[in-house]
Amino acid sequence: MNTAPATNDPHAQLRALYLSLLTNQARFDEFKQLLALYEVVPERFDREPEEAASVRARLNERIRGWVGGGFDGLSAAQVLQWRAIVVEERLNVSLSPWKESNVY
Amino acid sequence: MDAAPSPRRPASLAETAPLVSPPTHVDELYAAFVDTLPEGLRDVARAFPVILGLAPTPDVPWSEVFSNEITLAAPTLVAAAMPTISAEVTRQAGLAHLLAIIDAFGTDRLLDGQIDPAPEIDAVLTLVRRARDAALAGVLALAPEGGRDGEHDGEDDELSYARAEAETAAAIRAEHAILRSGEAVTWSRYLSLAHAKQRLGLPASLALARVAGWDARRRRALARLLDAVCVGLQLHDDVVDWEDDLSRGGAWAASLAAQASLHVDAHDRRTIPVSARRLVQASGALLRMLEQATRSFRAARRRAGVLGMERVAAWARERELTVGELARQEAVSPGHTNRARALSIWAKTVLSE
Repeated sequence: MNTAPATNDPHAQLRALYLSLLTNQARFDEFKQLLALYEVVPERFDREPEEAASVRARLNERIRGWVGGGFDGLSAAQVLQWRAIVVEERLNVSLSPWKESNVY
Repeated sequence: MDAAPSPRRPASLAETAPLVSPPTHVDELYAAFVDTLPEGLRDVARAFPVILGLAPTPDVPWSEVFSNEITLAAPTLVAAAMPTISAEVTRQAGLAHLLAIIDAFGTDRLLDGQIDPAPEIDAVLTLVRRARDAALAGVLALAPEGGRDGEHDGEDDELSYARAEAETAAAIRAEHAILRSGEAVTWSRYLSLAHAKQRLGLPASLALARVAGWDARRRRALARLLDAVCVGLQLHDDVVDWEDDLSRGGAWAASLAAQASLHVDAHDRRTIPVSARRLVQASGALLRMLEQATRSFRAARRRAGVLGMERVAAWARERELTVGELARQEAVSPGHTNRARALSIWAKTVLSE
């Protein structure tokens, strides 16, 4: 599936990333592994640690390889959000995620 | 359903969109039941969605626990096709069904070891079953005299919660034995147990049909409709949850994949992937389960249409389309269903803005 963002619209870029992960297990696994390496304490996030910045740079490089070079890159806040949901499975309770688990 | 989702609403989001509003009347039924309990058990009973691991906090009511209204409110939905049934009888059947489903989940989680046994949980479940049976008996007492003649041979078993409970428990024990042994399982055995686990979803609605004076043919159609609904939901759940199930001791998808690998030619066997995920994805088991779930919803939709249950038919159609789309995506990209689940909260949070 061609997931390359057609525009510079940030929303379209995120959507392209979403579709890229949705359609490819290897990308999904690599994405999750890189998110797991992004270790930052959000409460003490005055300045992104050097090691975390390096992981984020690597992650954005990989994403550009998947969705095209026009991808602006995930910000530190966006990476933290992805990590919270995909790796830590900390969920936004207002979205009733348990209902989704309860397929019934 | 379009293969290409709209820019601001990914196709996978439709997966969980309820077609009808949450059945808040089940909360009223449950609250009335809780009020009948001894004082010391009421807080435990109120917290049952959390205790059973179905909700994150005690403030989540039963109406907010499940994705599909029919799970807890089947009698109310089927009663729409029975104009002679009064609201009070529907309410009684609704209570019986609600308590039957709560008991089913409670028993399953206890047997499965997902929750630890505790005297107060046992006490509440005992009273749940007692109230369930009393509510069902109240409905059946209104059945016309003809409800006891030869036309119903063999059908009384379907109206007995004790019988349904015994069959369900036997199926769950068989399931646990298979999954924990890690043995390969045939497709027919899997389907047989999937059907056997659904019996508790039938008695209350079938009792309403008997009170409404439906003939044997229509009652059989209703039983098959409800069975198809339950099996469709069960199979979809078995796909969505297979990795969690495997981490708890066993998953049908893995057992079906193991069976499939037995039939692989020795020459090709060298290329079989070793991780459980790759084995399952390569086996096509998830696709087969989704396709079967789609067929179940299709069968449910057709029967609901014949029986005049338009709301149920519309819901089943939505399930047929959604799960059918998941099957198509799974065929193109194995593992799609599970990735969609892992990404869905992020997609809802970010892409829906």
